[in-house]
Amino acid sequence: MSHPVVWLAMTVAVIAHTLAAICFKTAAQQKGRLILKYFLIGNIIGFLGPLCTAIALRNNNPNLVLATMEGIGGVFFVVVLNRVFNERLTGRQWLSIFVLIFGTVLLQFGPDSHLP
Amino acid sequence: MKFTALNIVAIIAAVAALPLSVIMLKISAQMWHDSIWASSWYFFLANVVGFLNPIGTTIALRDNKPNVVYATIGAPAIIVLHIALAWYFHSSLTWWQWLAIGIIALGAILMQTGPVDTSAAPLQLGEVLDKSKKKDDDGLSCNTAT
Repeated sequence: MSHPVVWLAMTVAVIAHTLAAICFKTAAQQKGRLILKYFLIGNIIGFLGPLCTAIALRNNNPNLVLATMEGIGGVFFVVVLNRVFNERLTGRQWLSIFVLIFGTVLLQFGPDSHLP
Repeated sequence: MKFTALNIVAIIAAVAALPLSVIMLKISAQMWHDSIWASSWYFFLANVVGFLNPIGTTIALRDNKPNVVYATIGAPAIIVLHIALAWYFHSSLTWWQWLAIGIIALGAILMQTGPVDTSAAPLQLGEVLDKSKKKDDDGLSCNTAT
């Protein structure tokens, strides 16, 4: 997982997932044709998610790749939605952000196990 | 949580879709150098199977609260996903890495099971853009004043 392309693919997948969620949330708030417009944009951007996940999974351990994406993605997703839509986080959600960061950092200290 | 037959099927489909879809994505990625056709086929299948996750979640959301549905689907999906991946691909992880995965799963579950703070009125995207534009205008006027 040390290759920069893997990290780039995971980052793009996480950003695509978050941007798609913003588009879907915006679509749900609109009326008429704008719903379809934001829904389509969300799906087009969101398609980068599985594409980049497949690239990241190519030569790497899927447990490590997905756990890292869950960690980074969980924090990024909640913080961005919190900033964009002004949704306050509860104490438990702040705790979960620290738990996710701690788990993701801890995961990177283990040996980098490649699969054939 | 209402456990009707449809809800149970929807939850099982949503939970099962995630590991199945990821396994197919991994197979697709591994096949890329051997056969682009087979790789694309698995990529397509992964997307079709993965599509069951939002479908099942939407069905379960019809009669239930979102935080309960996300917790009921999200928590088992993460656990099943990692066990299925380790079993199918014979992942050789150390106990240290399993501990880290467990902590990440705990964090994700905590995130999904928490209560929602509704004290702040959520903004619409238009309001967010207006707010940032206003901020820019204020910044501009400060600059011109100086």
